[in-house]
Amino acid sequence: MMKYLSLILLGLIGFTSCNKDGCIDPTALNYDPNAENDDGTCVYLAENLNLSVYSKLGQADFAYNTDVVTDGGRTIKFTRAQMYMSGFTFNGTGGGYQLLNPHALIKPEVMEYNLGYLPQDMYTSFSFTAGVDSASNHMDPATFSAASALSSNNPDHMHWGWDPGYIFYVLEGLVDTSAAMNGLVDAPFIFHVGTDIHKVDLAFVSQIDASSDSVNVSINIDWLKLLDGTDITAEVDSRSTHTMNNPPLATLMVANLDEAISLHQ
Amino acid sequence: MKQLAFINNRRFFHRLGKSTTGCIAAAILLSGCQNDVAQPYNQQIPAWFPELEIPADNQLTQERIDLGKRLFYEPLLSLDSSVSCATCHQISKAFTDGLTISEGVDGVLGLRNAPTLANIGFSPTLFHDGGVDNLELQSQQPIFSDMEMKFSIAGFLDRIEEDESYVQMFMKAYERAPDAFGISRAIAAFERTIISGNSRFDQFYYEADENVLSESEIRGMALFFSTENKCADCHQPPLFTNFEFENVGLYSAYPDSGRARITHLSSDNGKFKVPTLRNIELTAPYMHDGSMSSLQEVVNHFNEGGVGHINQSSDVQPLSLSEQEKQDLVAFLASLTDELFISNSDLMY
Repeated sequence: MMKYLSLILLGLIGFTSCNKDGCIDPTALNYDPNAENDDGTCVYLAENLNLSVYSKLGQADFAYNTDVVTDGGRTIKFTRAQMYMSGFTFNGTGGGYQLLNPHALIKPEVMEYNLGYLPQDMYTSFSFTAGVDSASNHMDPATFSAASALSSNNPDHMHWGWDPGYIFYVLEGLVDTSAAMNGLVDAPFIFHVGTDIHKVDLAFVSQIDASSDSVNVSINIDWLKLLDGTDITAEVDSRSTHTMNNPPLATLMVANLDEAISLHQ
Repeated sequence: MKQLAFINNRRFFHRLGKSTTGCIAAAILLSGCQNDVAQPYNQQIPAWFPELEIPADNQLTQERIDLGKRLFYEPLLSLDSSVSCATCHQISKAFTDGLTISEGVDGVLGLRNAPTLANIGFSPTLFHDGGVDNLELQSQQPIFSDMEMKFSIAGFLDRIEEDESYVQMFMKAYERAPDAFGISRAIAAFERTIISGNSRFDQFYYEADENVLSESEIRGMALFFSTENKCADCHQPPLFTNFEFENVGLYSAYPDSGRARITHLSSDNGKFKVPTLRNIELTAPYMHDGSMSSLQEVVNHFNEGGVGHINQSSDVQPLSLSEQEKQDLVAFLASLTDELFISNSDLMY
């Protein structure tokens, strides 16, 4: 009898001394209610992940209705500029983390964008897509919540209303089409670029300390650079694309995204 | 031989009609079970029509159709409150507008001729290029288009914010406040009730009333269903379209690439969705660009066999029709007009 009691007692001692390691803080993302020993792995959210976008026209700050000159020597002025970004992913010591709310509608007149929550960590790089990820691109814009940049309840949202989906970016304005290039803008240009093949993944190496409640990342967009290599002349075909009617021009413009978007130092 | 093919067609569509009646009845019952409050809509579809597929999240109810009809005729959806869906889709013209190219806000020209909405709920794709595959998405497009309403759903919602009658209609129809979801679903629901299947051809062909067509129309019908003329290869009854995309040889170089705008395939250049011929007499001008003003002109084009574009349909070949035969063919096309359809008060606001 004494032998059985000893075995039971030993078993109980063994069981209670086997305390599980893990995150014991209920406010952490990876809180483990069964853990008793804090092993230092708790992951927390940074409350506000802020994206700062510095809009440029070459070296100058972006301004609507202001004359600027393209790399081809044409004087233009912008009247509208917007771009979707999606799939924001941050790579840190704890691995990659993709934001739950990954869509942002970028406009030059708005500099700050709250992207939501990010686990506290030391991140070394981040990436996103200029355009809309393929899955979201083919969803009905009426089915997104009103707060989403993709919702058709949003007055600025950009969707063709066709199966090709969202317009990834819009550039509209006026251009000098005179043969002498006299600098007087006189004709509209309209570039609406989209479709799955024209989304561009961009990645940046950057040390981002997300150990505090607030994190900020900053990028530049040179909206003028998006027009590099295009020949905005008197020919309508060279100063207008809705992508599907002029795929070569859309492809040419998309190739500029890599250099037009950069890390803000 | 021509008459034999015609009779076979007739028998086939009678059988099809019987089988679809049960499906439609089941669909009505199903929609009635999903919402105890909403009034189920008793969809009237000709027995010889195919089944009307309706999305699970937008089953037809009277409340949804009533809201959709109001929105369809609502000019507040446009920037300057001058353009509604009904501007380009007028019931008296079988839901077209009689213009070569439709006009939007400020008279800005659109891209193409307004297609009829008759039986649009049966179409697996929408627009002349088939760029959309559901009415719920399509119904949002004109609101945003700079060539049509040039406005936004947010702007429209601001305008009706104080309109309690709209709020109540949205709540009854979709149990939610006015928003893009309700707007798009309601317009689509109404559009699925735009059904035309009671022309004199229907009465003759499916309901065996042999007195409704003239001799000329009957001769024209035989020409239409002739396996040599191939009209019915693409314009297949009962909807008088096969919903495929075809190049009919209008131009040797198309200014509008049509289906290729969606697929980016050169083999689709100049292809457009085969339009229904129901109510065709009322929907001039014709072709995707409204370039032909009369049915005589259209028949002449197909009789000559097109210009020979590289993507031209092999069914478009010279026909050698006589003047009398061309007149008979046009007469038959006019028998596809549905007078009750264009005076249907359920489709008016």
